[in-house]
Order: sequence, then structure tokens, then C-alpha cells
Amino acid sequence: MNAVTHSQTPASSRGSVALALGAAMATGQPYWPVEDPSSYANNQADETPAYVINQTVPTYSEVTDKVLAETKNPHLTFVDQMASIYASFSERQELLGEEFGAAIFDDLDSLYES
Amino acid sequence: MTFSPENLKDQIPYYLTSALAQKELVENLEAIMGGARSGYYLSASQDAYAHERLQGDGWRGLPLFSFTSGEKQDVRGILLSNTCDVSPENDRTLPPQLVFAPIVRLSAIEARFVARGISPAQVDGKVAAIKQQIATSVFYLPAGGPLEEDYVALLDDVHSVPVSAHENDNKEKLFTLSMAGFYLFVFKLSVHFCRLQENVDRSPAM
Repeated sequence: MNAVTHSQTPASSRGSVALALGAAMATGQPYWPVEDPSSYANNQADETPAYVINQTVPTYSEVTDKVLAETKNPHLTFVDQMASIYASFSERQELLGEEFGAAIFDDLDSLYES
Repeated sequence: MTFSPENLKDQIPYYLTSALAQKELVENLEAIMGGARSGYYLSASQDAYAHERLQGDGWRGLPLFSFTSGEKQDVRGILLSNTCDVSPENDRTLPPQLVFAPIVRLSAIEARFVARGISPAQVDGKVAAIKQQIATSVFYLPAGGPLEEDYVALLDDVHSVPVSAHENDNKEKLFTLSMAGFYLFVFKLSVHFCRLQENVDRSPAM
């Protein structure tokens, strides 16, 4: 179930603050809004209550679906490719072999180069 | 920890988060694993790390003490140490150590195979396997840049010296692995040194 919650500041409160700020700017006085308990009680009646929208019917959007899929795991393809390459590489590995190893390591020092 | 796509996802560095960089790495990695001889190294003109020590670098002047002769000599080798562990920019309480494996000419070990009496067909097959990076203890380094011919790193011949010992007159960088070359190198190290599928049951004997 999708739930969209909105809360709104009452328009009357916003208007009061804007007016007070405007007045303070006009008089050159700094203003800091202080809550008035009595006005709060009055504003409660004007305030639009928070509401919840219950969306019972799912919506579908190809665009949203694609964006969400890429956002959830943007590296999925790359990761799968790298894991596949590593697995393939790992599975193909074989030992050098005793005879070949001995041919190299019997006189290793002479193979070194400065 | 097992190797899985989910684990790998957490290891993707910031410079590989763009789709283009990822595509390029996958393509280059598949190409060199398929036998391409180019794409292992950064070209000299594009090498921003020409004077820095990075994991997978080729260097001259790496000091090595021979277990056979007891003598010290400077050799060509490839760095196995993690880049961060040898960076002079990182603070540390203990002197940093360089872990490296000498690199030797592929033609020289091929000649050894022949001299030992191994059949030409077997020698050809082994050299082909080395070039395809199939031999687990050998990392193939195709000719390119300052490498005048094909070399191999012998991953069973590993040495460790103080970084300060590499500050000598013979010190010279030979190559810096490309992104794909580096990933292949790390793949090789992980397969050779960190084989979780070792087929040894370590459960306490009953």
C-alpha cells in the first residue's frame, strides 16, 4: 500500500510571519518570530490537518520502472560480467607441471636480469 | 568470504562507476584474456604513475638475495605489494616492505623446456597456456613498451625487501599495468595464493 503524507503550514501563519518580517525590515529593527501561545490556539482552528492518501490501485510506468531498477542496483550488469570473467578465468587455471617447473627452478638465478 | 557478484559490487571503485568505464574494462579484460597482446600496459604518454610504485608495476633494480649462492643482485620484477602499503604518502609505524616476483624472459624458459627434452608439442602447448594466462603460477607479460620481448612473472619465486633498499641507482620503472592488466594480475594473484576451493577438509579428525 502506498501512503503519501503531506503536512502543510497554515496559510494564516505564513502570512503573519511575512507581515512581521516586512514590518521589521521597514523599521530597520531585527525581528525574530516568537510564538504567542494565544495565537497558537487560534491558529489551530485554521490549520489544515495532515492527511494521508491511501492508494490502493497500483500504478505502472515503464520509465519509473526502468529508473528504479537502475537506481536499485546500477552495477548489476557490470558486476555479473566481472564475476563471470573471474569464474571463467579461475576455472581455466592449470598447474605449470612438475617437469616444466623443474626446468625453470633448477637454475633460477641464471634467468634473472638486471 | 566467498566470491560472488554481491561481494564484488562493494569493491567497485569510484572511477569504475560510469557505464562507459565499466564497458571499457570488461571489453579490454575479455580481449587480453582472449589472447590479445596489447592493452596490458599504460602507454608512456598516458602513464600518470611513471615514477610511483603501484601494485603490478614492473621495475628494474629490485634487490634479491639468492638462496643458492647467498649473493645479492638487482633484478627485474613485478610488485605484488598493495599500492597503499608501499606509498610514501601513508604514515606507518614499521618500515614498508616491497614484495615482488622476478620477471624472466619467456624465450629463456622455453629454451629450458626444450633443453630438458620435453617434446616440441608439449613445449608449444605450455607456452600457449602461459600466453593465455592459464598457468596458475606464471603471469604472462607480452612485449611492449620497455619490454623488448615477452616476459613472465614467476609467482612461486616471491621476495621481500625494504622499500629503502630499492632506492638505488639501478631503480627504473619498466611498465605500469593498465586497468585491465591490473585486474587480470589481481585475478591471477587471488587464484594462485587464495584458493578457497583447495579441496582440503580441515574438519577436526574424529
